[in-house]
Amino acid sequence: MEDQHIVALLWERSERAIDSISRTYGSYCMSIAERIVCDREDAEECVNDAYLRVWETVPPERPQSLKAYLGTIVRNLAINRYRRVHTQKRSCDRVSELLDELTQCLPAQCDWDSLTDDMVIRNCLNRFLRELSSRERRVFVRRYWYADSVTDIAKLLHTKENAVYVMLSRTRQKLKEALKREGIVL
Amino acid sequence: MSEQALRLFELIGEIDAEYVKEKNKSISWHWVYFASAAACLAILVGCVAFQNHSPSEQPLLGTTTETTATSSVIQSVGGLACYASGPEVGEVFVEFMSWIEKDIEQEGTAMVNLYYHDQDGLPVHRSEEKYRDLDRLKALGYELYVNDTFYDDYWGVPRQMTYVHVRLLNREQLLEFPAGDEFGYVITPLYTSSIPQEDYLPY
Repeated sequence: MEDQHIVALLWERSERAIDSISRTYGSYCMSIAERIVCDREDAEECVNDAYLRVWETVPPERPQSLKAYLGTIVRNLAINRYRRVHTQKRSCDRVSELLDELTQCLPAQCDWDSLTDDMVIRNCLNRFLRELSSRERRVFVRRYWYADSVTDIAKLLHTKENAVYVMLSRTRQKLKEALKREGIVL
Repeated sequence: MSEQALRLFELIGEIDAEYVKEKNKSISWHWVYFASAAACLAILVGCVAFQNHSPSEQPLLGTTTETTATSSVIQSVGGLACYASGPEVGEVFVEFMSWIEKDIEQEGTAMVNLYYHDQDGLPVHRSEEKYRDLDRLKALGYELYVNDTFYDDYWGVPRQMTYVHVRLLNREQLLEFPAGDEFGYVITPLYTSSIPQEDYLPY
């Protein structure tokens, strides 16, 4: 079912909307959540919470891309769950690996009193992504948005894992420079 | 430091939706590569093997035995393969159309026979067309686009591994392509019955 139809059902407050979302985007949501929380049950809870969140927010929202809207919600819920799990000392290898990589992007200085506003960082990230080549951007998004493994990205690209590692490493370096240039403090 | 990284990871989740749902658009080297392969193939097989070929083949599902120019059909196959593999159906279809359009301009007609199979190998759509009428061809593309029968373009979702069969009506040949992946990279034919597979293998 097309996004617009599902959104229309949500606006009509029809419960069929949730079934449609589940059928259309269920596995998509699960794959995002599972990569972050590394646990099927946790992932299922995130996905169900995401459906609920969509039900609560549409209307008044009318997302242009339900897929991206839903994906962002699932991802945020999964990160929240990751935070909770992480503080309980349970580890999730995939995210730990990603965070280690992202640490390389962080500018050296750290002034906790002047953290940059989220909106400013988002704009900076969008500008940064716009300046990347299409290929670099897709690899970056697959890795740090979808939390895909390098192996999976290499398969998608029909290239060697090493080539993906190299591209990611260069992109991280560019991100670090972009953050530094704009005086971003995370 | 890891809290900072986590915040960055979190904020990456809020990038513009256009980047999240960005699909593979045409990749220049990709098309160049394909065009080169198609041209080489045309030279290799067009000049030698098919000039004297009898049209008495047994079509897989259809019955047409029309003949047409070798090189142009091969080019059409190139376009179709890209079309079949690209998630930006509308966009890639334009590329496909350009091949066909060229055929029609140069040859007066473009002839291909397309078979779309579902995951179980059952034919879900067949087109056996002698293309003179671009509008008709566009209608076919549109139908395929809205039905989305042969691949799943959602990122992160296991894709349907369906197959697109391309039959050239003027030769004993069947190319079989797995439907494309999310990145839309050119796919490798599973086999060909008369063209050496190496001719397509760069992809």
